[in-house]
Amino acid sequence: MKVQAPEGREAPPTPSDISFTPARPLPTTAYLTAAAILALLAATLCYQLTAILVTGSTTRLLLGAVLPIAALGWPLSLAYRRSRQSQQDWTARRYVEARTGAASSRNAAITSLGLSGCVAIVAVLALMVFTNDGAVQKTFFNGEYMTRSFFDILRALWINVQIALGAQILAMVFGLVLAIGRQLPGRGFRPVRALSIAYIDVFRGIPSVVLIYLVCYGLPLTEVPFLSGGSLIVYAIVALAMTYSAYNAELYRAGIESINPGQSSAALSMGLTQTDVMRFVILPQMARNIAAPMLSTFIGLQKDTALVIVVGIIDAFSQAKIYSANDFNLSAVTAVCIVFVLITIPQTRFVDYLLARSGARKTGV
Amino acid sequence: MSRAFIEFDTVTKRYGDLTVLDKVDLTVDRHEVVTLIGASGSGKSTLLRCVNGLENIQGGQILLNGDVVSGEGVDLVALRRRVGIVFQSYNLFPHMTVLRNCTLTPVRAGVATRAEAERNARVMLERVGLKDKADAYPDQLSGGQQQRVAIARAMLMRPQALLLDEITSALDPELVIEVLNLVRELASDGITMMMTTHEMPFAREISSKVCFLHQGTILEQGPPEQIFDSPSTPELRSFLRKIHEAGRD
Repeated sequence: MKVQAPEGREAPPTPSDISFTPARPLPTTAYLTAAAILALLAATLCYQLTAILVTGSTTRLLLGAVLPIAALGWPLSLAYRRSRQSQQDWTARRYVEARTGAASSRNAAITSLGLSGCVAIVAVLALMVFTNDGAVQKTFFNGEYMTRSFFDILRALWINVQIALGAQILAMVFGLVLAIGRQLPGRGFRPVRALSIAYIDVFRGIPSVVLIYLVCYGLPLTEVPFLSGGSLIVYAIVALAMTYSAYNAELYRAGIESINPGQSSAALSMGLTQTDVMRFVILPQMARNIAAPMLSTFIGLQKDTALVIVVGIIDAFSQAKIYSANDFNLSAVTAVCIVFVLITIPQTRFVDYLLARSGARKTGV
Repeated sequence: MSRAFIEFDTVTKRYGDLTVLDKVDLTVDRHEVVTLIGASGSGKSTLLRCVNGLENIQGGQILLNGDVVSGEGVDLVALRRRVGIVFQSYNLFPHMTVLRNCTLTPVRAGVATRAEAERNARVMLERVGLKDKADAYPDQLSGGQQQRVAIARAMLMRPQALLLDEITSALDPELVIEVLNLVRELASDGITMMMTTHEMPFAREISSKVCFLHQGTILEQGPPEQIFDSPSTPELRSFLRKIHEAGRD
């Protein structure tokens, strides 16, 4: 579509023709300048990095200068060319072309900014790791120490998995009891409500590590029948479940409150009992709403299993600490970080999948 | 022995200092269709919700078939199985199929086995014109279809009375008629009904009695012709004029 220039009008003048003032294209200068500066910075950082990593001067020139400049310069030059074109279009009174040109110049500049930003951040991190004769790399990412400890760490991770699963199951059940307990209606349930709220208030406030310490060291000392006979791992499970059931109770409560009150009105008014309303109407809908935040607290719990080191349970972290003390090197502990991250990612994807599937089933896709 | 099925005896409902229903007296006879009209906030919906105990009352009493069903000590679950209610917002259970929405309560209440309940539900769904939607989920249905499912769901408990709370207010105009036709059919089957509505022509056609609520009291009640054609209070006249000006009569 071409917009007629003011003097090119042949049609009878209309009021809008008389004062025809085309909207100017979006300004691009600031974007271009910022993109250029960041690209320059990123290229410089890359060049610095090659000084540490690469020996030959030709390869250094190739990897440190030519490659980054080509990669980062391409979107930048695209943005610049489009901006120039836009200016030419504007002077030639091709207003629409000038405006689309300026907009796409901006888009290219934003792409360039993002790319240069990523390269710069990666280069800075790499510089930190490899600088000072690779001190960081040798301390945290020593491949030999990592592989040597890896299988023992994996074996010890089984302890973390047991504690996490046990505590999660307990915390989900007990948390639900607490959540329902704190919203039982009527005067008669007031003590139950008060007790539930008190439990949640208290146990959400106590640091997990302190609770693990108290339960694992304290219960055996009390010599109470039954309670004092458990293994350290069972105590750790109980201690973590005590904290996390308080977290989960609040999560359940939010989930229950997120259900439209019309749902329980409708269910009650058909003559379902309170228990059936909870079981068939509220809880299934709540489960879908809280799946994602529940996974977040579960991941929190998984990480907190590393706290059992304070009571001498040999879990993944504690195993890695033994290695790192022997090696005078932290790479084994870094390996623990990697392992923990690796086990959480599939869980997130799994919950995403479950939510997508339940959403799809509900809408019949 | 009176034929009264639902009786309101000086029913008063308060939220804190706010009096929502003020000494309401009303009787609904068997097989009667009683329509409550009035501006929003006049207490129509609250009055309906009191009948099956979704709201408790602070004064007076409500009787169902001669027995008090308000106040302490009433078996609400049993009461609600006798008095069904349908809401403006349908309130179908979104995580269940239409069929399961319809069979959940009969099965849980023990009035039918699962197989019987499903058979009954399919018959009822056919009657409301949704035979082929039994396995659909509520969000795959139009508003009118959802509301018809909600009515079917309420009717499957074989209630002795049905309360309809502005059941067409959330519907697009072209979907209203399918729901009203269904209500018309239920009324001609002789179920006792109380309803609130903004569809004045429908209220005039279907009701045996129309009550005008104003600020928590029934200002006028009587046969529809009397209420719509010769209103005696200025409040009702003003209400009907507003309805007329909005083109809803």
